[in-house]
Amino acid sequence: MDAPGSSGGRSAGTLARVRSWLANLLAAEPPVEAVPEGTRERFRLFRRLLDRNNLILKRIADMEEKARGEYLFDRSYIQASVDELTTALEELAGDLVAIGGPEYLPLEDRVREIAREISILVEGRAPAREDRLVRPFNELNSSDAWSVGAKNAHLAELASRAALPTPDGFAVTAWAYRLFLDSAGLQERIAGILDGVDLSSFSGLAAASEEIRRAVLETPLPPELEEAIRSAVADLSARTGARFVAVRSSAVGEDSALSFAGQYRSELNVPLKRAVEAYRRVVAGKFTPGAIYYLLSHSLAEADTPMSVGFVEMIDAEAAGVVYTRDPVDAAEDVLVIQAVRGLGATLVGGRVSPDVFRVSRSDRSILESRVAAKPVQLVAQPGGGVRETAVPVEERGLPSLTADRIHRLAELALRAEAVYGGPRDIEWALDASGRLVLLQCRPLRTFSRSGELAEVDLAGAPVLVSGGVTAAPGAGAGPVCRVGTAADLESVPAGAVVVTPRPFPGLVAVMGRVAAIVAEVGGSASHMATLAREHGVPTLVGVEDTAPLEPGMEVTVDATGETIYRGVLPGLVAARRREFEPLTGEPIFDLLQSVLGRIAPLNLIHPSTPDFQIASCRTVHDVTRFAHQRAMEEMFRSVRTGGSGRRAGVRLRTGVPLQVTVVHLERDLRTVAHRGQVDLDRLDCPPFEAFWAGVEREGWPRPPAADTRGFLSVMAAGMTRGPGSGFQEDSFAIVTGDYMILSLRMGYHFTTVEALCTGDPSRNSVRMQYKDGGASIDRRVRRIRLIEALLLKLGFESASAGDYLDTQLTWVPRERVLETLTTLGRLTILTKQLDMALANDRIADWYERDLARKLGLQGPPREDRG
Amino acid sequence: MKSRQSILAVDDEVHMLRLLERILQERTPHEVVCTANSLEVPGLLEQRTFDLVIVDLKMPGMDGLDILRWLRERDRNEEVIIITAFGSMESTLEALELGVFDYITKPFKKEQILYSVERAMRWQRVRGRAALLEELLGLEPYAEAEAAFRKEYLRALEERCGGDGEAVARRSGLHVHHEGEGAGGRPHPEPTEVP
Repeated sequence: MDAPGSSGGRSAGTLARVRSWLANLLAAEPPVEAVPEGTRERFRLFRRLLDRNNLILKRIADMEEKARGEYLFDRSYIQASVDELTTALEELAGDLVAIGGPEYLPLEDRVREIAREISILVEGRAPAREDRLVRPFNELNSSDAWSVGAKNAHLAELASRAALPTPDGFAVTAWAYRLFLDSAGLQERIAGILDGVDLSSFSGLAAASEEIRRAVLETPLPPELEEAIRSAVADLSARTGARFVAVRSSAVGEDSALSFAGQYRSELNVPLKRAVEAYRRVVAGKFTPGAIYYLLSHSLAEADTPMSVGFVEMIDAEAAGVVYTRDPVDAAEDVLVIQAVRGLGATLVGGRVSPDVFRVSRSDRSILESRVAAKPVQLVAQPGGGVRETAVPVEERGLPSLTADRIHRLAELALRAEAVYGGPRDIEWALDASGRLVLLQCRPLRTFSRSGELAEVDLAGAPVLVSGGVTAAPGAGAGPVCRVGTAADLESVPAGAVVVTPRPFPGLVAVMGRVAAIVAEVGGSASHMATLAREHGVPTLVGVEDTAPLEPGMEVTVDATGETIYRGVLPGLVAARRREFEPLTGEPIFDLLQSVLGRIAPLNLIHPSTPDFQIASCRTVHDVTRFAHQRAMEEMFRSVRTGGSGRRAGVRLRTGVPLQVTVVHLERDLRTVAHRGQVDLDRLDCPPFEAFWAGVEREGWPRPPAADTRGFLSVMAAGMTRGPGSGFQEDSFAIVTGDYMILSLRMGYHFTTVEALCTGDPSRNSVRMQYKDGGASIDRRVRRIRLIEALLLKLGFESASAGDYLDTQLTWVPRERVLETLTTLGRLTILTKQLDMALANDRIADWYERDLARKLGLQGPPREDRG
Repeated sequence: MKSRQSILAVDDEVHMLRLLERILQERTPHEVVCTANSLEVPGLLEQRTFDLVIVDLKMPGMDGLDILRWLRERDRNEEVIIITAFGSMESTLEALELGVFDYITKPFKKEQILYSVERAMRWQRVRGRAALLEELLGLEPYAEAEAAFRKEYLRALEERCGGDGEAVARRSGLHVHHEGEGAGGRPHPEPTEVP
């Protein structure tokens, strides 16, 4: 590369450069070779890479669609999608290595790394992490769930974060559990028993359960584990004076937490010297017939569902029970629900005794309702250890298990626990003999809103302002109209407004948190903005051709679902739509899909000329595909340019515009149809290229639009500092086949890549256009990119832009539409040539956008293809 | 009061079952019972009847076709919707032969299952209605049939009137009196007095 010119007379230097540029432009040698050696094979790999690239992008889009809360899907859907993605991704990386050589080998490692991260998420199992065998509660918080399980971690968190009264204790970690199972061949014995289980019979499951429990109970603990438990128990007793402990399982991993929660065993009132046996019993208790059924039916290995065991000081309860900080069947009500029994809480949790129920106001703690149940029996701790069910004296059976004063205190504690997590909780509590209230467990509470049947909304007589459009995000919203043209208008958008915009642009996301609805004149439901709107739950209607009736400030109701806009505020409609379209999200399966998508969908690599565009920066599946596609394309061009013999390859296109384009046809020898080293467009035998170039020739070679002086100078200055190597000296290049084209077009400072696949199968077809490197200053270049992006959106393209770089793609279109679109792109390429010189401000840019849209016949939203 | 229709949903995949439960509870008025253990299903079905059973095709223990067969062998009235990830032609044909109500492929849009459930429930209501009429038409002698019809007619009218006894009396044109006021007594028809 040449360095920028040395100092000297500026104008003289400029002239010299312009002259040398012109000379270069005209003096290029005619190419000689038809197709450089190895290019065909490379191209075959390249096509395969493209197919895989498209497959991956389609799969990502499908997963994103499922994640929106409108679909029901299961784990196997996520698993199958991830398997398909990772296989395709590995092949894609392999293809790039085959095309570009060993310098791309690190991409294969990156792919393996990403695939591994995803599989950890999907399978809900972290690889075993070395850990201590025993960890005291006062050193734990909720981030330790991987080690001690959610139950232990959350209990410790209540004490550490909110100083709530909880029993002191310690956890025997998941690592210790592994150690136990790995010792003395226990793991193999369990695997052997599981292998022989007949899933279709309960008796088979029960027999296996019995056999595994026996094996666990027979196996001695590794000495270091036994010692660790004994000494932790001694410490606990020294700290608290406890003579008995409660021993409880705490599952590790989301999957096991979800399915086994109610099945795990607890041991109450265990004498200190029996702690080790209790540990073994709790571990054995994991293998219930139900748990075995779950393990086997989900092809999980035993080791995939480790468990931790918590040891806490035994609370000898006078009364115990559960608090729901919301009414689980009507979460909107201002109440919390306390259930209480006499004695230990196990009778309540096990469902054996009807509890007293107290409904307490969340806002003023007043007791709204007391339902005292008859309590004939209670569970009490025995002096020597263990628990026993005893009869309650007849005269005490009808007495409430909690006084009003304690109900208030308990409500207070429960709400403080809720505040730690920010959502409704299901809390186990106990009241000890000294009157101290203690929280024993705290987990999320699932609640429902009772919507019942959908309200019928009577819309007869409501004045319709506009009807039509496409639902981009469902729902309805009402508020005053606020018109937004560019990002500059966004600041003035008031909260609760209905935003009306000529076109969706990504900046709108800035107001999505505070607006009632969005209406756009163009755009499709698959656009990036539509995705964002759905994520934010903003009712959004796009493709509304005539927004003129929506006057600024006018109160309207946008029914995005019903594709209608009404005059005035219709609260009934808004409410009805809200219920109807409440998505299913918030379920563990959605959280899982979301977290998996986090490693798949985000695109961090956009601009290929930034230093960040490299293998090490690929963090997601999308990044890898973007990187591989970009580099494969560049390798293809490099291969053609520098061909085997070192001579220039391909045949020059004969054209009416002063652009040198060299074409390499991979399926035929263009030299046979060339005349004096040049080939006519109609002899190329590549319909997509012909369509594109027809558009180029139709607009010819226009003068740049009248530029202001500053614009011109800025273009010239940019050209100077960049030097001649950066663009316009090099040829434009096309690699084509009968149904494919890829064109790297250099016009002045603009660098465009157009790629199209045009077959009889719409699902394979695509048109992709990338723009980069304009002349002029950055703000002008950005304006030009925005303008082109806006026009392409009207054509139905999906786009990603970063600064002055634009990557945009149209997929799933029939052959005719591919060809039409290419012609429009050809025209657009010429029409926007050097346009940035004129784009001094947004107003002018808007004017050009309208002017170009008119010229190209792009007035409305993207057309739908019907048949 | 119109009695609620009921659904039994069976899927070994707890996540899927949970979504199904939620969507059915939130978006339909029907009673929903769920289990992830297909081996529990015969026991549940022996205890009570449902209007609709939604089952996953592939499950360990009893699969969807087993449950469908179990119902058909006992001439049960439950309709069955089968959910499957892999629509294999063979099992589809078998399911159709056994009279499956609908066949839905995972993943699916929530509207899809809701629509299918509503169709099944409507069909069950129509079927129940038809069975009732059949029963009325089979009664002998005529006086008994007439009385039974009148009772049913008033029950339906009362439902339409939202339990307003006076409106029932007025709109039916029959003389209706309430027995045991306050005990939620049903209107009992009396022959219209002929002057």
